[in-house]
Amino acid sequence: MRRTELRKVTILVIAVLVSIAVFMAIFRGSAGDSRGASAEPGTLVCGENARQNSQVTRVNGSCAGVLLFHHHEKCAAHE
Amino acid sequence: MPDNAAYHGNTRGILLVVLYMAVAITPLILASVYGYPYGHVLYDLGRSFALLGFMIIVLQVFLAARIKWIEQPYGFDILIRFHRNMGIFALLLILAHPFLLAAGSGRWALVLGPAVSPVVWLGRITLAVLIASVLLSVYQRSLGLKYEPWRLVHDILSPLIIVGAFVHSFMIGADLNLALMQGIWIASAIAAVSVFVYHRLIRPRILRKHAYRVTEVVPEAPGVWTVKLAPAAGEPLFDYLPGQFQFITFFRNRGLPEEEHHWTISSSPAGRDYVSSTIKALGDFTSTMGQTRVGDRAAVHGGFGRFSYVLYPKERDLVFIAGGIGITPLMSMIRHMQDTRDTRQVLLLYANKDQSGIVFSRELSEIEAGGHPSLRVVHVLGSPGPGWKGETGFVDEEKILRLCGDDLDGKIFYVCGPSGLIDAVLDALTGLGVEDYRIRIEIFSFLD
Repeated sequence: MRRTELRKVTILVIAVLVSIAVFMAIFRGSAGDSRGASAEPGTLVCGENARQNSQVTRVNGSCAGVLLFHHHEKCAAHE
Repeated sequence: MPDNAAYHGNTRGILLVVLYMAVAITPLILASVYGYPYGHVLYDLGRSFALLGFMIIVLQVFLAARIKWIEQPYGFDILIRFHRNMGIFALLLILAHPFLLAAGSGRWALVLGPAVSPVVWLGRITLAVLIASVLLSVYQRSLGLKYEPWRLVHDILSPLIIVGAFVHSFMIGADLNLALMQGIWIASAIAAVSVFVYHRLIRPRILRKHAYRVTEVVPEAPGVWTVKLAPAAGEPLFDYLPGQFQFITFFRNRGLPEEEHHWTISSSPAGRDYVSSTIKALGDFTSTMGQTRVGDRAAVHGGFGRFSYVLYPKERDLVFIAGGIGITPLMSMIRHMQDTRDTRQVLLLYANKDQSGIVFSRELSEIEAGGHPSLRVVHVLGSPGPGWKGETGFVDEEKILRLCGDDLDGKIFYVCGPSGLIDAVLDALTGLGVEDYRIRIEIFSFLD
């Protein structure tokens, strides 16, 4: 019956998507660790934090080039 | 087991589900591989949920846009329910997003603090609009909201959600620093808005430009009319399967409302002169159907749905169970069988409150006598008038078993009618051991 199939497919899709989202979040952290890129909260994803704090309005390009900078150094570079 | 035609439908259906998931997770995977972590799993999970939630919202537009190659493997009724389920799922993902960011960073001001950037405020407002949109959709009936005003609100809120989510994420999301992600984000937003504009603004104008003309209005029973529609001269009738439904917007002027509604097609697609729907007065709008006149125009969009025997050509022993005006898709199939000189066996159990509710009575008798298909009609009346000698009461286990000749093996059941009848018949069939794949139903209300 199609309603039963719909329920099964919906549960399957949601389970797969959530599993991948969780896996990728864990993968991100471990990949960052292996690259030596992980740092204390607030110092790594400086672009995002800075923008959430309204310290800068736009960061051009990838954060890759500023990973070795500390939060405030990077923000200063883009302000 | 489903035959070849249905199998092909299932294959495309499975491929589309895989494609749906691939599109939904692609940005998430790219961001995870090429982006940079925050360093706290909850924070990164919050970002993942936001990326996933945005893509699901983008895909919502495609699910609801009546795109036939997406609709055909599932049927529109199932597709729109999947749309609703995924809307709730997207809301939960996006609702979790700020809490996970706050939990991961310890900056709870992200959730509640007033001193955040305007872009964060935009995200909050978009989330509030999303919550309102989902709640109005899920509780539409409970709130007493009619379909038309709900549809208008939904059409206004949906693009606001897409644009708000796009601007918020593009301005503030660290993953959107990646040029590849920016490209995907812009393309996704443009695709979603384009499909929405086509679905809600452009296509209705095209359909209006190529409007059909009412050629006949036939009173079938008290408060029931068959409206026949023909395309403009020189234009072709759209293709449809017997049992499918169509969306119609009547342009009748005279102060009568212009609303789009969906009705099952009652005509046979073997005839190419007109398409008809048989409409019962069940509400404010349908009560005006008797005022429809020959020459009135109507935008017609069809056919949709998978409630059709032609998708399963090897099934030869069918039981049709109809309640009230739910006879219409079954009538379309019976008429098509007659037109194509089909010889398969069909038992029609047609439930009504009393004799006055029976439509197509004479035509059904004629087809029954004609032998194509091998049709047997059994009327079941809940409250028959005096002199009724036929079946009374409800279509229950005992009647189904007895009228089917105590043998349900190999029979395929098509059920259409009010939700109460459908639920009761499903319970009866399940109680009789009929497997799911042998039961076909049309869920005609999109919001139940």
